[in-house]
Amino acid sequence: MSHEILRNIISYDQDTFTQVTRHYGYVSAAVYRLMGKKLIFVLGSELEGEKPWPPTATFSSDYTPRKGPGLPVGWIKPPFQTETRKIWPKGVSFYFPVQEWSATKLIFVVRNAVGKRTKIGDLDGPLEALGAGISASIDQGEMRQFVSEAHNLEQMERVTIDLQLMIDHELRTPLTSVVGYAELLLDPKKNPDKKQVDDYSNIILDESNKALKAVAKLTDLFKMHWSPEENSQLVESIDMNDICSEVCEIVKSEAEKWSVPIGINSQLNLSFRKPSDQRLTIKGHLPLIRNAIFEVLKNAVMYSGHGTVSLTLYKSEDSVVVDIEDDGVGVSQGAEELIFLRFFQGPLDRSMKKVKRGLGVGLYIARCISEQHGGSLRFIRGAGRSGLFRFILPIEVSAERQDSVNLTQAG
Amino acid sequence: MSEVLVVEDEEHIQRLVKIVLEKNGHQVSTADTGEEALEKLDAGLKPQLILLDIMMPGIDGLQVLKKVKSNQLTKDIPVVMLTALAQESVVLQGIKLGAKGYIRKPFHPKDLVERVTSFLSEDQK
Repeated sequence: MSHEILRNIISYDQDTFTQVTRHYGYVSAAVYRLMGKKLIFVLGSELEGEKPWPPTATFSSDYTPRKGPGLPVGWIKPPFQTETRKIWPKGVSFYFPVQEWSATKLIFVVRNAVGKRTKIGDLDGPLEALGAGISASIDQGEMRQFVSEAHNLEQMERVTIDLQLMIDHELRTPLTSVVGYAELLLDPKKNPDKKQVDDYSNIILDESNKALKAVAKLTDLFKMHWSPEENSQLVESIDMNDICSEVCEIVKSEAEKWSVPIGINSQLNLSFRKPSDQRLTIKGHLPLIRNAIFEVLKNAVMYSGHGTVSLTLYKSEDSVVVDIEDDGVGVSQGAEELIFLRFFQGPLDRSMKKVKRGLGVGLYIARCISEQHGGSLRFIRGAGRSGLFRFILPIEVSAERQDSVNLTQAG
Repeated sequence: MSEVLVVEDEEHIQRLVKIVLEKNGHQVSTADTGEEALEKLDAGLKPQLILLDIMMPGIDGLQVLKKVKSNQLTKDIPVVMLTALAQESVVLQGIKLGAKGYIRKPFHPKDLVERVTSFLSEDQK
C-alpha cells in the first residue's frame, strides 16, 4: 500500500487523506515522501466515536535480511500528549516526522490505559478493532500549526546541512572533469593528438568556469544585500515591458534544457500579457530585476505540468505588478512562505521525466531583489493548490517618463 | 575485455570514464539517465559491471540500483556507485541495497581503472 500512495506533500491535506485511506477501518495510515528523503507517516481515523489512543508507530526496514516483522529501527512518538482528550474526530491525522528513508512496512502498536501494548496490525494486513475505553482526539487547529512548525524547523535544519552538501557536490562534479581530462593530457604513455588537446583543454576550461559559477552563486547567497543608496550610480529607469519581454525570449530559448515534461503537449506555451497602452517603469538595478523575473519564470517553467506558463505585467495603483502563473503542481497549504527559503527544493511532478534541479535559491534571490527595490514577491493562492507568483514593485513616475510614453503612442 | 555500463548524466564525466576505460581494454556502453540504463538492460544488455552515478535527474541512482537488484536477470551484475556526495548515509544505503562499493568524485583516471579492474576480477572468483 505504501508504495501506491507515495506522494509529496508539504502539509496536511484532509480531503486527500480520507480518500486514500478509507479502507483501513479504525486506524488508517498513509505514507508520504516529503522533501526528498524524509518520510512522514500520517495516521488517522475514519470513524468518529471512541478510539484507540494515538498509536505509536514502529517501522521496520525491508533492507534487513531477516524475515518476519523485521527489526524496528526506531520508535516514533506523537509530539504531543493527548490523554485528556476523549473523541477522535473523523479524518484528523497525526503527523510523525521521520529521520531517514528506510521503512516500507508499518506496524501499529497501541498502548491502552494501563500501558499494555498491543499490536493492532500492519500496513499490509487487516487491522483488528480494539475495545472501547481508550480514546483521544486531536484539535485540528493545533495540528495545522504543528505541521507548519515542523516544516519550518525541518527547513531550518536542512539549510545548514544542505549548504555544505551543495558546495561539496557542486564543486566535486566539475572538478572530476578537470582532474580527469588534465591527467589524460599528461599521460606519458599515450600522447594526445592536437584535436584531443584542444578538446580536453576546452572541457577543462568549461568545467572550471562551472565551478567558479557555483562558488559565486553560493557565496552570493550570503551577501544578498544591495541597496540603491550604496549603489546609486547603478540605479536607472527600467522599462518593465522590455525587460519582461526579454526574459520571456530567453526562457523560451533555454526551456528545453530544464525539463522535459511527458505528455501530449510537451512544448512550452509561454504567453506574455502586457498593457498595450502604457510602458511601465521602475527605478533600480536592471540586471538584478531581470534576474529576479528570470528566476521566478524559470521556476514556473520547470514545475509546469503541461508547459503552459503566463507572465502578466500591469499597473495597480502605485505599483507595477508582474504575475507569473503555471499549470503545475502548485504549492501546498502552509508552504507559501517556505518556498522562499534558501535551498528549498520543491517536489517533482511525476510527469517531469528529466529535470536538472538547481540549488533551490532562485526564489530566495528573487524575493531579496524585490525587497531591495522596495517591493515584494509572494505566492498568491488560487483555488486548491494553484496560484501564482506576484512581484509588486513601486512604479517610477516622472514628468520625463510621461512625455516618452506619449511619444511612443504617437509614433 | 569486459562490458561496463556507465550511467552518468554529466556529459563530460561520462565521456571521461568511457575514454579511460576503453584505453584500458574495456568495452563501454553508456546511459545518460537511470531510465535509459534500465531500458538498455531490459533490452538485453548484459554488462559485467555497472558504474552508477547517484545524483541524476529523473529517477536517481539509488532507485536504479534497487530495480537492478530486484530484477532476476540483472541482480547479479555488480554495481559500483560513482558519487560526488559527501553524505555517508546515501553511500551506506547504496551498499545496503546491494552495491559492491563506491568511487568518489573527483577520481584520478588510473585509480578508476584499478578499481574497476579489481571489482571485475573479484566478481569472477
